[in-house]
Amino acid sequence: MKAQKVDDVKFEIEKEHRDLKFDILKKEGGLFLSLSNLFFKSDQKWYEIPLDKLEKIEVVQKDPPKLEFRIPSMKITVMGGYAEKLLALRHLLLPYVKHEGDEEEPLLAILKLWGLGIQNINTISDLLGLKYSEVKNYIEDAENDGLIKDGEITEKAKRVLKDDGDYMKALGA
Amino acid sequence: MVNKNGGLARKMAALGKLTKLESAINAAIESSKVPEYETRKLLKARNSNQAKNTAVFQFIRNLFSKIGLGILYLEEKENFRLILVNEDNKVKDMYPDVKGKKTCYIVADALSDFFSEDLNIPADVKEVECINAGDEVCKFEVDLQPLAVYKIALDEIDDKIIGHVVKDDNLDEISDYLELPEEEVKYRIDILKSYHILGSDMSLTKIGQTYHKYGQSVVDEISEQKEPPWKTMSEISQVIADSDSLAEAISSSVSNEEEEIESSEVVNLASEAEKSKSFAQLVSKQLKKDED
Repeated sequence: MKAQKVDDVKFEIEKEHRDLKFDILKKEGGLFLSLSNLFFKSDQKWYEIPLDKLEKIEVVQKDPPKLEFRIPSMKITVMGGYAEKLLALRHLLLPYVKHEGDEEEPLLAILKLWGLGIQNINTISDLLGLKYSEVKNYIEDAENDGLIKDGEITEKAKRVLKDDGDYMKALGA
Repeated sequence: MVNKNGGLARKMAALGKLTKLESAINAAIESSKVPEYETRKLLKARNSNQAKNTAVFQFIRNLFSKIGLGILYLEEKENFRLILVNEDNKVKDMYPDVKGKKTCYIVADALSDFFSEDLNIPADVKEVECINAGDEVCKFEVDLQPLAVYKIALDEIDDKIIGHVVKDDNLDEISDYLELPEEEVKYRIDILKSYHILGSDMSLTKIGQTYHKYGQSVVDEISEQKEPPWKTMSEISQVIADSDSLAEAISSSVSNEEEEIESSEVVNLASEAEKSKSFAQLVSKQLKKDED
């Protein structure tokens, strides 16, 4: 796996569970970015944060900036390096943070099937391994968000799905 | 949804561009303090048409364009809320592998910093629509802190008008006492009504009573402060250009350092956290057992 260096930083790794906090690791080393991970390298050891596990990236101190990355049950605080670079990294990664209620992927899969004419809730739930009620809720959400209207996926939905070339081809677009 | 075939090079290039923007935003906000009497005109504007013609809004528009964040269009203006559309938003193009999600956090944060630091109005700004999320435009909602708005929007004359209203003086009397044309007094009273300081029957509302009791001293305090100079756009442009050179130097300081990572050398923090969670659960169960 390839990773590119962002900056030299200081970092602290703190495990936490409810009120219990333990194992604070303080290190200095390189901050690296790969396609789907953030890495810290110190003493030839690599520490990996998968981007899809990120729950929060906060600026906990403005000047000099201190960033806090949160994944389930763990907090990683990063400081040092160039301020602008740290802040830019936060802005680069914020869209990858999984917000509560983020359910794009099943929703997008449902939209794709819907656009291809597969609109039976039982069939969709079988195909995607979701409960009947979950599929029903996603469809209601899609209708409320203007992604499905009058039984068809809307232009807004097509814009969301446009990067998936095969799907658009199947749709005849 | 994140398409992982986006490419590391593209991601690093986006990081470089964002670093330049951060640098330009810092430099621009540092040198763009706006005098309160100009901000007041924006706050007192009764609708988006009036507001977009104020010098402050034109300044914001120019500033964000010079920084390279896009061209802002004011869609709605309420007392404590603005809706801005970013036309020609360059930021959204920095996330080609992100679809179905909002991406333009840097624009929202820059707006929040500008309102808080340069206009002295703490503001919560969020992107409410984004082209990358499938919307038609990138749209930002700016929620202004009401107390700060009151402090700046109302001036000494407004305070005097409130004082006369408390004494039950009518429009003619206020106009005579303050030696102001009746039309101006009427215009100011309408603004006080729109800010819910005065009710439709010209009485002081609860907000008005609180403001009359506690707010005015703060206004006096603020107006005594020396107002900072409002720098010309050419000076600010120079500051932004200088910041660009600095950002270039920062970006190149560690560029091209690429490493191949062996999976055997990697500690996955997410998996470690899961293990520690089980350990913590075990400890708390044991503690509970001991207590019983």
